[in-house]
Amino acid sequence: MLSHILTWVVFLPLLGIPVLFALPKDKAKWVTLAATIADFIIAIPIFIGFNKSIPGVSNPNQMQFVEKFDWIPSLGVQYYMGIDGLSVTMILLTLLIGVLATLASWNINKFERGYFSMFLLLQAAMLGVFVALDLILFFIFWEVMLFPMYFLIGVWGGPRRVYAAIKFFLYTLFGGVGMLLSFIAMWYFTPGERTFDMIEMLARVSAGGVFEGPDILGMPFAKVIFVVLFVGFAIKVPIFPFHTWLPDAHVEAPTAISVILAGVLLKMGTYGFLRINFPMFPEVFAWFRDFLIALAVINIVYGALCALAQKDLKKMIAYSSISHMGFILLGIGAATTQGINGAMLQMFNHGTITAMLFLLVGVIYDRAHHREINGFGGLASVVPIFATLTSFAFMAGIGLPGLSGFVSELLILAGSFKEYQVATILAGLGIILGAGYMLWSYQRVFFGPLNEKYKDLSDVNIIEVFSLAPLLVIIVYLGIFPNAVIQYFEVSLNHISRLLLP
Amino acid sequence: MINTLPYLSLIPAHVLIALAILFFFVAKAIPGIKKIPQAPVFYLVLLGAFLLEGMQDGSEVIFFDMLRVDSFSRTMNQVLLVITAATLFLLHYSDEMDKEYNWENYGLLSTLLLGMMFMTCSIHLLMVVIAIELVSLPSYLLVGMNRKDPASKEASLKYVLFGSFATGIMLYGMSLLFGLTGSLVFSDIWKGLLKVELINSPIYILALFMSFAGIAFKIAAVPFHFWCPDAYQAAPTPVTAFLSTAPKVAGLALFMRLLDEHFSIQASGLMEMIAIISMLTMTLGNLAALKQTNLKRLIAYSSISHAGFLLMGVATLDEVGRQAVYFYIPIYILMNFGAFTALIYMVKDNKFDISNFKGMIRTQPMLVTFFAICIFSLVGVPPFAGFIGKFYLFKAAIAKGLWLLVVVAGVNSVIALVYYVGILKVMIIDEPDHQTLQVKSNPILMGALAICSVPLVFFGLYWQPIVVWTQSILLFR
Repeated sequence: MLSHILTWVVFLPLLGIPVLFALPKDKAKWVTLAATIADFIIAIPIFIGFNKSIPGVSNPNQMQFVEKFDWIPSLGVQYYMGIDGLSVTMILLTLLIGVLATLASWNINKFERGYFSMFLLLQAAMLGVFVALDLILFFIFWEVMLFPMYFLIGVWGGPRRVYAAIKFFLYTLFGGVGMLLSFIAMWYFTPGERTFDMIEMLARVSAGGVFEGPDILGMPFAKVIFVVLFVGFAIKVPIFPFHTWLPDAHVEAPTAISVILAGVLLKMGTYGFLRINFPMFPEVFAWFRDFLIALAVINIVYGALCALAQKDLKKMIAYSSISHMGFILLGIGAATTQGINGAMLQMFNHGTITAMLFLLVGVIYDRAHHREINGFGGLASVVPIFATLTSFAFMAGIGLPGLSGFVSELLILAGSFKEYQVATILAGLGIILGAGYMLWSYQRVFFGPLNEKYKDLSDVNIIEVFSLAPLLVIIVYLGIFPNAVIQYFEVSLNHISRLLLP
Repeated sequence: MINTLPYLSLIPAHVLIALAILFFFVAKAIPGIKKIPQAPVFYLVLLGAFLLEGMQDGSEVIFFDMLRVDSFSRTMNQVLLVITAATLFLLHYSDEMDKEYNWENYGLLSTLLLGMMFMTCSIHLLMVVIAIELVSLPSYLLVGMNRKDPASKEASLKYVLFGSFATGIMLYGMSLLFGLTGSLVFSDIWKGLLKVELINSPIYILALFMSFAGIAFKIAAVPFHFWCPDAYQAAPTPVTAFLSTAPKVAGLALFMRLLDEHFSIQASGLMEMIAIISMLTMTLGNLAALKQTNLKRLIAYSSISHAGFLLMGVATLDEVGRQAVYFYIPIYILMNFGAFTALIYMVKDNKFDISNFKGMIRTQPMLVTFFAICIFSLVGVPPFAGFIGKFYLFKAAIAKGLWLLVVVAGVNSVIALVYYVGILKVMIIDEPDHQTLQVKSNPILMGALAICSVPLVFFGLYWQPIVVWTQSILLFR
């Protein structure tokens, strides 16, 4: 079984779907929980057996746990999976978020079987994206995510769910079509023999190969392909001005889906940058870099300002998420070893912190049935455990030393300061704004006079504790020992940094 | 009178002529014969013709350079025979046609099929006109056969008027071509055009564009698409399913054969012309579909836009593009027949308004799931086969460097999402109300629907069988 371990990890969630339809519908959540936990358990050999000292990335024979079969020989499409430091971190995050999001779905009481089957399909597709090393395989996993996500938001979401769901679908499909066309063009003009194997492509590029195609509508080939790919991934991140789907999707999605969106889906965009978009076109990246940094700063500051203005708790966190994704972009744009490692760590940390924030909002929404920041007040005296947990998550979001968010933001800022001083200072401003909106909203919800309506509010229950506690532990632990995660991806990311900054 | 029987390669066509004679004349002449069950006879003949087509190989020119039978025409004919069999099956379950006139209906269908079989092997413009007319006339009648929708008579008349208009333009274009080159045989036309050095001149473009009118009319390409929405909406649903697939296949086959001789010339003007037709077709079809509230009409517009996508493969004027078109054809047939089978399953008494489908998934989860597979496949998202079909078309266009066409097609596949997913939203997300149709379950139709939609998932994940099939289709061999 160990030889096909990645296949097992990716497709195990799908095995839950027929089981779930065979059993009565109130058992669906148990099946899903079992499937996601089992998935986590069978993935443990990956994390133990992973060799942290080889970089992978652009070296085909350094990928680990490789599975490679011909799939469509006439087209050269392969069933090619493998991992390096970049993917192993994301797999860990996805598996973790999968289990916690199942717990967060415990209160779903409408068409349970439909919900959980879509959930498992989504989980399998997300895992697939992070292990696929063939462009077509990658693209198929990438797009397979769309329709479960559409239904998860559209059927089980809030009042404006239909609008939010189609908006998400349209934005992502738009980026997806551009990506597909770019992949085909990249295949057609691969340096050397045509291939969809992204590692092989990268190996040739790092050996000096260039994608040489004809001008596209009067513009240089490589630049057009780069920008189209960038837009495709940027929509997922999301980067200003493609970010408008995110607040809508987050606000309307059920809690668990918000958690997955913020925890995993957004990371796919930055994963795509690191894996495909930037290293394949290092020269264009150098040309694009200043613009990228500008976008990163806009994301950070604009996201923070928007978050400051929100009245809805979930929307505020959605915008804070945009702001934090800007830091990842800043780190990648700077591309120094510190910056890029910080970005990767931020991908992991943002996944856990924002997931926790959304889970907490879900807890309060389940009880109060609204999320108005000004509609609460003095809750700290009624729900002390909840208030404590929230304070940890909010502090981690601000980047308080001792919690995980601090380490990654520090690394990013340290890394980018070498290259872009002004941008780094502006990004620092984003942190101050972050402290502003986080603390201000915390104060309005938990302190001040108690809102009489909520004096009987019950504190977190056992299932919610189970979903929150692991995140809390990770956030605190990584704040003190960030190397626990960094050691997995450090070598790979250093290698990417060398590819980007020759 | 010429004895045509020695032309063994045309036996399937002979069989169909015999069938049409049976349905039209023998049934009238011999009263007792109507007791024979017609549908099984039809199925048997279709099966026989299918096998006969499969048994032959090689390529030959027959009927004084009018027809060429080769692996290409035989495979296309097989596809058409399968489509006809599927239509026959659907006719049985539709409430829109008078069953007592089945002899006539089947007669019309068999002549239509015969015309399409000639379209796939014509290599002479005169034969093209005859074949296209042979397809058009029964189509006009079949469209008018819907007893549930009075608008079908009107649609039929529009179809007739528009059809004669298109034929007129086509004949005019052909006369120009004949005047320019002195020949009506495809290969001689291209040679003649080359000789008189008219390639890419205005008269060349005009003559070709007009000659294409008949084909464009058959595949419902802009600007010869106006008949399409009315006819598709008003025709009995099985006939709509048939018209949205079979004449498109036949028309594309004819188009590809007509252009094949041209590959050696590779005139940029011709490529641009087809690319422009393709872009206009997919864009107009999509934009019009956005506003539709009648499901049948919506699918009519969506099939216009799919014709645009198929033309993308024709526009490249090379083998890669043709392979992409071959690849898309079976997938397109599966998706369309799947969608129409679901419509026949769901709809009674001509209630095709989208509001009649609200919350359908509550009562018919299986049905809606299968229908959703067909719809997602029409959108072209993985892991459904429609995606792979579009993938090959995009690949062909990118290889040829038709970037504008590629961009327009890309944007169109996003626009298409809006209306396709709109249907699913109504069926899955909305709550059912008093308007929602009550559906009687029907295991056989459900099985048919599964036969259409399950392969769409399978081929979406493993499309090698279709690749092998497309590689076996060869012109002139």
